[in-house]
Amino acid sequence: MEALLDGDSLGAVVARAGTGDELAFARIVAAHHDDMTRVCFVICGDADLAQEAVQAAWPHAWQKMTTIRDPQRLRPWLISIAVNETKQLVRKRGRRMLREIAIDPENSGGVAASARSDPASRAGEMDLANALADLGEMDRVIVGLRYAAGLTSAEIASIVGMSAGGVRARLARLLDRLRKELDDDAPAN
Amino acid sequence: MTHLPTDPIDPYEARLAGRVHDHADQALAPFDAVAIAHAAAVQHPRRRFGRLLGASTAVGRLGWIAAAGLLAAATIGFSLGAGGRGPGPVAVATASPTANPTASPAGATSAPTSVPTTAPTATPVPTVRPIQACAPSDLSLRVVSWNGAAGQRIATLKLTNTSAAACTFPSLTRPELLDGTNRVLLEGAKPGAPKQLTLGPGKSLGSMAQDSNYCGSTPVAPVTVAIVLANGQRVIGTPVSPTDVTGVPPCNGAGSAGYIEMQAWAP
Repeated sequence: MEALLDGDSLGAVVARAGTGDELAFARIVAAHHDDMTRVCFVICGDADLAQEAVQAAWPHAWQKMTTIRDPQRLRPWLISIAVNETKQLVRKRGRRMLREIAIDPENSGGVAASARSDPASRAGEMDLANALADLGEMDRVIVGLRYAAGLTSAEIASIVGMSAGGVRARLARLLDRLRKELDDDAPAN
Repeated sequence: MTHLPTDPIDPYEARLAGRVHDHADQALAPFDAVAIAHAAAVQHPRRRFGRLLGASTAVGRLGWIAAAGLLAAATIGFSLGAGGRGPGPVAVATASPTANPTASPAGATSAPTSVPTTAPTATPVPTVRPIQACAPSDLSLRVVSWNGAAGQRIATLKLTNTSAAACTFPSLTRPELLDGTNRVLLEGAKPGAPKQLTLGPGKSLGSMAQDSNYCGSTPVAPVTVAIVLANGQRVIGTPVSPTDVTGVPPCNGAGSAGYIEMQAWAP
C-alpha cells in the first residue's frame, strides 16, 4: 500500500523515519497498519489479539527503522514483525482460543460487517474461519502472508525461512486442502 | 485495497485471496496513526547524541565535563551580572548607556590626587531586537498530500517563512478543515501552551493533521487545512489541487462528533 505514501518517495519517507521523524513514521503506520492487522487476524483468528499484536509491533519497527536498507522491503519487513508479535501472543495465551472463534458480524465492528450479514455469507465466513483454525500455525502464517497481504512466494520465503520453491509447493497443498474443505468448486474465471 | 498475489500458482488463488482478505477485514478498526507513531517514539526514544554521551574515551568524557563546567561558569556569571535574579530575557531590547561611576567606600579617606578625574564612560550596548512573531503574511502553508486509513484522512503540511527575516512560530496551532468557500467543516481544539520555534527566512516546518467523521453537507472544492494562531489570525493552506476533496473524512455516524487535530510543528 505504498500508494498512500504519495508525495514523497518511499525511500525518503523511510529515511526520515529512520532519523527519528515521527511524521514520516506516522505515514508508514497509516499505509501499513491495516495490512498487518489482516495478516495477524488470519494467524490468530481473534480481532482483539490481532490489533494488540500490531500495536506491539510498531514500537519495534520504530526502534529498528535504521536497519532498513532497501525501502522496497519495508512492507514485508513490517508484516514479519507483526507476525512474530502475533505468534508470541498466541503462545502466551494458548492455542485453545483459536478454537473459540465466534463469527458474529453484527458485533464485529469490521468495515465489511454489513456485507456479511446475510446467512449464506455468514456460513461461508464460519467455514473459512474453521478451515483456517484447522491449519497449523505455519500454514496460517503462509496463508495470511499470501492472501491477506498479497506477498510473493519469495517475500514469504524470506519471512518464514523457507525457499521460494518450498513456499510454492506448500501453498499448492494448502490451496488443494482449503478448496476441498470449503467445497469451492467454482470454475476459474 | 486488496493485495492479490503477483505470482499466482493456481487459478483458484484469486478467489481464495479475495475471500481471505474479506474475512480478515473484520479485524480492522479505526486507528490513530499519529498517536501510534508518537507512542512508539516515546517508548523507544532515539538517542540522537547517544554516541557522544556514551563515548568511552577519557577525552570524550573530559570534553563533556569541560563543557558542563563552562556552561555552569557562564550561568553563574550571567546570574551575578543580572543581580542574582536569574537569567533575564534572551533578547535585550534596550540600548541605554550605562554609567559606571567608581564607588568609594563610605568614610574612606583618600589623598588628594593630581590625576584628573574622568567622567563616567558610557558603554554602548549593541541593540538586539527581539525576533518578532510570524505574521500570517510571512507564512505560506501548503497541504502536501492526503493519506487515508480506516475512516481517517491525514494531511502532510508544510509551513514556510516567505519573509526576509526570521520570526517565531508556536509549535502547536489549532487546525481547521475548510472548504473552497472558507466554510469551517471541522474545527480543532485550542492547543495548550506551545513553545516558540524560530523560523529563519525561507525555512520550513512540517506537521500532520488528521480528521475523522464529517457528516455535514457536501463541501465545495477544494478542501484544505487552515491553522489558527493564538491571536485568532488564520493561515489558510494551499490545497493539493483546485479540485481536491480527499481531505473530507467519511461519516462514521452523525451521533458522534467529528474531529481534526494536528501534531506539533517540527523542522
